[in-house]
Amino acid sequence: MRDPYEILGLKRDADEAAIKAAYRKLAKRHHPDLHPGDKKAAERFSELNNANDLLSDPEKRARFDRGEIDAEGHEVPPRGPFYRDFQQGPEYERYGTAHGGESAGFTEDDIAAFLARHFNARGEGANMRMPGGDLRYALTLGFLEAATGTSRRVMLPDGRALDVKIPAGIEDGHIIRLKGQGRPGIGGGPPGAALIEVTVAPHPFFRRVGDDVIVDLPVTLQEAVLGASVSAPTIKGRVKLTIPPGSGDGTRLRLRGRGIRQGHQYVELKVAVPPGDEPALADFLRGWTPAHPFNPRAGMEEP
Amino acid sequence: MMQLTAVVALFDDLGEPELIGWVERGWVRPEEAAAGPLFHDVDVARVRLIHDLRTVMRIDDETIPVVLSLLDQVYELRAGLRAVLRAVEAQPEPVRKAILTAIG
Repeated sequence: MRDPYEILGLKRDADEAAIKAAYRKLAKRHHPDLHPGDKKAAERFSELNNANDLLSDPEKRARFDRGEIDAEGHEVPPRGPFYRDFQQGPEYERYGTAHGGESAGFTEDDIAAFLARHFNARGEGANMRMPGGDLRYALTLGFLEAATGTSRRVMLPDGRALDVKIPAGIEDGHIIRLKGQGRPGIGGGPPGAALIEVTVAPHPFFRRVGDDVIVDLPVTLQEAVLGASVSAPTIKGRVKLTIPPGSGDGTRLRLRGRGIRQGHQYVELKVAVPPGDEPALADFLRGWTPAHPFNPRAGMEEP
Repeated sequence: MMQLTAVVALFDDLGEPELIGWVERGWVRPEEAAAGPLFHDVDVARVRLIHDLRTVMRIDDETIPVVLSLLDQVYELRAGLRAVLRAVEAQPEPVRKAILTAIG
């Protein structure tokens, strides 16, 4: 079995969120039932499951990192049968729209193989010149790496190392195409490409909408009512942020140009009421008549 | 063939009401029997697929029927294509050549 970090495209210090995101993304792409004609899909999917099983269990992962166990020793039993394994059986009829069915004598399983045999093999024969196949590779980036851009060394399955430049603002699901880095061509054909599929792990407090970054920022009652200058995180470091007096829960402040590329960062205030007893505050509120009375539930009067 | 309870027991995070809901929505179509639904191997495999779609791939319940419907169409098209290819293979060589030339 290949290195589980390599399979999921993770750095050795990847956190739990990155592991989850990578596994989810790749499982979507490689689930055998979504590739009924691809025999290798089951193998890739089981490789993914093994890698995820090992890395998502902190104890197993730690033992693997220390070299106490290897990837081989921790393979989960192969799953199946998959749904696709029934596609030629009479039982499958129940899920078809027409109940045509398949006679049992036909064993041509791989439609692609049939087509290749009959359509590609016509004519040329030995002098055939064909481009090489593409190599697929997974790469998982942290939210900040993807936002600001970085460079990562990727080990290809054939042992070569490639330095890949990751442009700032790369999005989850993007495929980086490295021309000429795939399998060699056949009969003098050009080599294929290396396709690097990027997963971007979620961040505990930054969210992304297009090139804008949104962050929820808790503020105290005093800061919201009286205004304040506080420090707020951005993807390029902390900045001073002025909270205007009379801000409320959900107030949105813009930090111009602090987003991804030309985007902005938006800070959404979350007003935090002090925990525990505050007798002075309670006394004040009992005797307080608002200058502008309002009903915050005005829109919810009629159920 | 398996009863509903036995199918649920194969997963550590699948409840009976959930599976009953899938059957009611027609995502899984087990055999109707007097003692309750009977799941054939193909039904169990389909339950596993739906489970993967929901838990591993995080596809939400509104989208599951879309995915299943497209998947069913792909499988059906493949069955149809296999039938055509089988018919082509059974033809004498000149006919086969003529068909393949006509296709492409």
